[in-house]
Amino acid sequence: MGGVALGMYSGAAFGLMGTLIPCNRTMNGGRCAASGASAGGALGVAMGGLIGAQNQDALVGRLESAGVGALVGGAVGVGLRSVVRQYGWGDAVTMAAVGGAVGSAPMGSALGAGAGAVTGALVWAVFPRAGLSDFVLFTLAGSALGGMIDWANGASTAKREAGRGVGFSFSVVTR
Amino acid sequence: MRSRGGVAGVVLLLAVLSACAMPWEMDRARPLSGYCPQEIVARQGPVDTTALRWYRVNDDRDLRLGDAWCGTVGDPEVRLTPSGTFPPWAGAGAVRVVTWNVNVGGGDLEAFLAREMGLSCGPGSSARLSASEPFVLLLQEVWRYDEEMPAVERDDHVPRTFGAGGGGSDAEDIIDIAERCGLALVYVPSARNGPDTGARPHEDKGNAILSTLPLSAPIAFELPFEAGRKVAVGATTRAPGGQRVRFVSAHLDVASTFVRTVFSGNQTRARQARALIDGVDEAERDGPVTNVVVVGGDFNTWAGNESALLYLRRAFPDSPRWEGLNTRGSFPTDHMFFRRGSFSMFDVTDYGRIEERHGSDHHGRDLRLTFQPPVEGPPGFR
Repeated sequence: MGGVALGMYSGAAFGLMGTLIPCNRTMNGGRCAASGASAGGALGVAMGGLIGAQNQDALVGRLESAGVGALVGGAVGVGLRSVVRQYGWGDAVTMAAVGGAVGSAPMGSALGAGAGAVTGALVWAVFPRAGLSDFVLFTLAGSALGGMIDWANGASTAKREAGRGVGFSFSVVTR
Repeated sequence: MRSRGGVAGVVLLLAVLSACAMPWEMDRARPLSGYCPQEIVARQGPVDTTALRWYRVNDDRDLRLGDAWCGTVGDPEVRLTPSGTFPPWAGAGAVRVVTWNVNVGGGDLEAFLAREMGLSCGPGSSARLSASEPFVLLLQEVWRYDEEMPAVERDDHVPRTFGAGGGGSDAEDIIDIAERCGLALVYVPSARNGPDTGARPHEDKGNAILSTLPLSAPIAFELPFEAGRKVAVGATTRAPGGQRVRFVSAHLDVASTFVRTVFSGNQTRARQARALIDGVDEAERDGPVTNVVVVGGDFNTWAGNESALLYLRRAFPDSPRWEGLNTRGSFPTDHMFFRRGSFSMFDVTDYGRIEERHGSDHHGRDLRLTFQPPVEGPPGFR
């Protein structure tokens, strides 16, 4: 149950994060982003359920790193709140929530963001009409995709690594 | 304990789905006292074409925040008749229509008028237009200083101070320039330009229309409130054949709050663009009918195919094609849109970017709105 819950939360956030900018280039952006969040949430339910059912240690590891991510996100949110006029406590809480989702799959989302940034930079350099928004699009989409792959990888390796004290899917040993 | 993540996921999904419920439809509104349009009113038949007409979104959050911000600014300024002597829009002539974000005093508006529009300004009615065409200038982030505005302190309804203007006693605001250049003016402030600290005069900022042509039917479209109050400004002039042509100067938000960005699916500007389209349509329904519309502004778009622009291109199907040039750094923020309804005698040509920024952080854009009178057939020709 815990894996399902964490997977759903993280997957929905990744789905939303990856579709925010692409959907803002359609005539139905709100529904498009909601669909992205729903699809991500559904995938997260499946992956989180598999991990939770086979390897509680891996799940606990993801919960712990989600907590770290939430703290980092919250700290960024509180910092931005004092700089960006329109930001309030709700924005800090939302940033903590997004940070928690990213934190539950830290390695995959970081690698994905890096690959997305490189792709975005190439697109920006090659296509005259591309710009900073395309760079951000690829970076966010890459991070979201990497995060989901991290969950999928965790699901595929959970049984094999059960009992070996593996906290993260990408061979980051926590204890 | 373990179900908390699931609850958060469900909340996230529901919140995103609720984006579809964020309203953008505009209603007519009117002030109950002062100049802020507090009351939403039903359509009331024929409208006064000389007084400022308001449209806004009937949403509790938008109304509450819009009212709070409106309470800090000064009166709108409407001067429908130019005091200078300028060439009329006559015969098979064109009007030059320009949109420019002045960057709150950062841009040198008088230099812009002189070099881009051919208008030399001077005291009294000595302004001279060297160009043969009349013009309509759609401006964003213009500012005004007026010590009669209420003094405001730093709070959530007062954005931070922007721009270089206003600091010096000899700095000219939009009212001064309209007077010195003899131009018709519709100016509706959106927000204060920073709290009053004593270092600068009391200032507000917003969108405006300056014109060498007489204007009528001034309209303020208070857009959905995202990060700050944005009021688009509309006004009408008459073509040589008597047809009404409406011009609208708009400015959309650059970013909303993080919460709204996430939970609306990043629909900040799309919502404001849809409201603007609906407001113009609502104004048409309230009359007088003005099928020919030119909209220009700073839409703060990150990409040339952003939702807001897609909605506007669909609503203004005769718009000139964007040539792909950015107008603020690497962002294609400024655009112009056009529709003519059944009035095929109107067209737009020469749409492009103005290269010189004249101190602003934005390039301007311009086009020519042409009018070709219908050819009359010989007597008896049907």
